[in-house]
Amino acid sequence: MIRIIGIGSPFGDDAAGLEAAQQLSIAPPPDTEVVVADRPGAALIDLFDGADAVILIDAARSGAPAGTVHDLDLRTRTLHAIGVVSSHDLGVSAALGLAAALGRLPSYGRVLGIEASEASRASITPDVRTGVSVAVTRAREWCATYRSRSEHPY
Amino acid sequence: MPSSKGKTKTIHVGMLTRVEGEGKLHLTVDGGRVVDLRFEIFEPPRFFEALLRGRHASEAADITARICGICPVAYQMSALHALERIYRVEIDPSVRALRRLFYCGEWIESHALHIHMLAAPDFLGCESIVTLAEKHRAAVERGLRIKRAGNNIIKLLGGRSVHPVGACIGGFTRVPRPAELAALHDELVSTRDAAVACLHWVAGFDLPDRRLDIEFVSLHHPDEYPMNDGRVVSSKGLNCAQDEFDDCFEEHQAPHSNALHAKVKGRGPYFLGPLARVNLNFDQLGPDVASLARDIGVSFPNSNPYTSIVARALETLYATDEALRIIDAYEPPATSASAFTPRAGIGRAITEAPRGMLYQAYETDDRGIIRSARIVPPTSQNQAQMEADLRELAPAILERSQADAIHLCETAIRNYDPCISCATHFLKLDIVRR
Repeated sequence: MIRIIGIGSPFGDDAAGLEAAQQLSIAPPPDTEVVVADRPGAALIDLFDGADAVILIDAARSGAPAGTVHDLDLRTRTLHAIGVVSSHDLGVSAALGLAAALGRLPSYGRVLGIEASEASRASITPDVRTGVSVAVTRAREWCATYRSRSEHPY
Repeated sequence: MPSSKGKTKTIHVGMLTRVEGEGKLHLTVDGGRVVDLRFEIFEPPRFFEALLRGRHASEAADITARICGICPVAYQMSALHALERIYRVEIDPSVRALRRLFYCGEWIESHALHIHMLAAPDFLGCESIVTLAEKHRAAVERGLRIKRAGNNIIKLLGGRSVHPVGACIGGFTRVPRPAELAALHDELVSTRDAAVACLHWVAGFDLPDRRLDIEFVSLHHPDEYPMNDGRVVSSKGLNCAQDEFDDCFEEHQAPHSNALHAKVKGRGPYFLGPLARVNLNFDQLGPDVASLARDIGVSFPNSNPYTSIVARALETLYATDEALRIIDAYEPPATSASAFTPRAGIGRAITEAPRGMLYQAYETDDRGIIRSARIVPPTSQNQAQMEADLRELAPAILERSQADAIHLCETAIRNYDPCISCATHFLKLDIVRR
């Protein structure tokens, strides 16, 4: 089973991951569960349990043009930065680092990061909304590819 | 590395990690004597008190829940109690028990997070939760399970585990069916075992031995361990009602901090949080937890701030037991929330947030519109005590290497589990040696 996890806050471009997950949840790909997770903190690790593969969708900031979709391997070590660990729980990269240390990362996974522009605006900006559509399409393609490989590993 | 220029030595240290927020510590030492110590909180004020003005009292619980992602229940509870005092709302005993259960959930998740993710790495030679997980995987997994159990309580009663929305004036917008509470029972039974193991784990840490002259302050209730109710007491004889807060404590602006400092009137800094509560309420922990506490080799009352982590583990166990007691005895109230009629007045209330006493005061008009709001979080009250603690520690810091100095300061501050975004962030360290 593939689990798609949308992460973000309800405000502005930070909601891009949530919006992508909500769109995918309307007609999920076969054998796929979609979770709109808000900001799960350390509980992100629990969301990996029982999944053969995971797609995380979240807003991202890298300096790229707004709406750019970054497509990364979830097991990439550089994603597992400890980042900020505070009494307000773990960020996504720290949760990935902790999952890796605990041996609880899924075997296969992607991180789709949608480049945000102004997270302080009330709703998702047009460029980022385009990025949400790209991420939704990319997630569906990845699910199809993963299933195809699973069914025909050789 | 320390550098020398004439008689002045300066050490610059990067951001303090594993606390909430950002700040800076400035330390000037002249001839081995501390001449200036400033714990600078420079995060801008968040204006929640102003945001509340003009809003209806019924909105206060949802607005104050947004102050903190880890202790929203505390903000809701203090706000609701203060407003319910204005409106003279009678709370159904079952609702009172559910609110106590709500608070148990918050203590469990907040304490488990702090023990495992923030504090334990200090005492086990790990730089972070990730390296701790590599060396002590079972303990970290156990901590995550404890935390999850707390979050599940909050989720059931609050509708979601972060920024819950279930509490309202008079009770809850919805109360659980007995079967829903019973579903938490098995998880809490296994959480109890995990909490006992956690207590033994932290009691075995090689904690520094520093005894300080501290005034510990917490609520105290004759019949129960303090969460939502009780009088304010201290280790130096203070004993006052919750609405006498301003008679006993005073807040003042420190030029270097965007969070108000506080002191006991006529005395000085005071210490809030799990260690204060355990010191002042040990008998209320009940025979089982008290017996375990006596077995672990850490005695209470205890004036060593490093034993805060043990107190936190004790409270995690207590809260788990208390949650089980409440669930087993639960009978749904006749209504989820008592009705109330707005009236003009002033209400004040204190409840015990995971980090200590959280005071709120409200004035509303006869339509229930909030005319003034005041919120005094535990971290802002603990600031002056943190500075006093660091002042005592400073001479030892100066003898240490850069890395050790950072570690000592960070560990000392983490004992208080500061939530600087609540108070308002945290820590760069400058040490000037002359």
